[in-house]
Amino acid sequence: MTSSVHGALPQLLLIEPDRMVRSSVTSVCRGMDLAQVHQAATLAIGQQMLQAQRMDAVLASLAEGEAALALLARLRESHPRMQMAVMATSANAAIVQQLKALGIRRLLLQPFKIRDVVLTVEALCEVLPLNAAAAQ
Amino acid sequence: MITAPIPSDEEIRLQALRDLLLLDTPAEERFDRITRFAMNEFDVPIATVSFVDRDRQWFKSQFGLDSIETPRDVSFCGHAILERQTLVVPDALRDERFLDNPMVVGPPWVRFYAGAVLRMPWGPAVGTLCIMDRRPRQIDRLGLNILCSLRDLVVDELVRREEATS
Repeated sequence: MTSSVHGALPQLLLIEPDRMVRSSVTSVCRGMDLAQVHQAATLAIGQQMLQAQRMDAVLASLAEGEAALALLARLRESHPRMQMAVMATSANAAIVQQLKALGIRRLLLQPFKIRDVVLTVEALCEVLPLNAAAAQ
Repeated sequence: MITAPIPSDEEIRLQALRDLLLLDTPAEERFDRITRFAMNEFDVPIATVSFVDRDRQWFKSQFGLDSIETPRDVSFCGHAILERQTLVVPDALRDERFLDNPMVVGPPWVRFYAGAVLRMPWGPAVGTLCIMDRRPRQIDRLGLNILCSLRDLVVDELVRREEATS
């Protein structure tokens, strides 16, 4: 596991409708000093959080379909170095192509485990520069 | 087998448990959902939300067991509530506390146990969220963190109920 410098944890936005997944991932990431996770149950809330606070990485559910992909596309345009991963119930070849074009680092297909999500958070945060939060 | 000692705050603990007004109530989806989630997360055949009463452990939620309660003196959770950290028994047959426990040498044939303590915010340990397997196994730091995060969700539900009934 990667250990970050205390007080300079990467800021990660988690957009996920399932409260149990959100709470568990947030709690585990905090307990293991992986990232400061900001939770959003919907894209709308996530968008507000993105406007209010700088994020280093985004892990988003595709539950809201096209709207989720559109948000990721806008994010990629405005934040070329943003680390992003997605979670979905399924993904056809076209969506996978779209995700690749957006530079999405990982696609987690349900049913996934909290362990998989946390390891994805770790992977997203590993590529961030040390002290990412302080540097930007 | 070594029976778990009685905690020093036993009467306060039992009162906290009674105050929850949960004992002998039917199963509830809000607890079952967490228990099922734990089973799937850890790929175990047994998971429970257990409360340690004066003479028994009673399951508010259980998957993989045939009974809704067991005598306290054979319960793993009776040991777990004494711990500050999650109690992990990688192989019950190699642990003198449990090697001849009826739950180990007979159904449900428990070999592995991990129990995260359900501790009320004001201190008393009323039970556990636990996972069990019929084969020896280990749980790593990430697994322990995940189990504790699910335990926290159970405690949230207990506190919410406590606030609603007080």
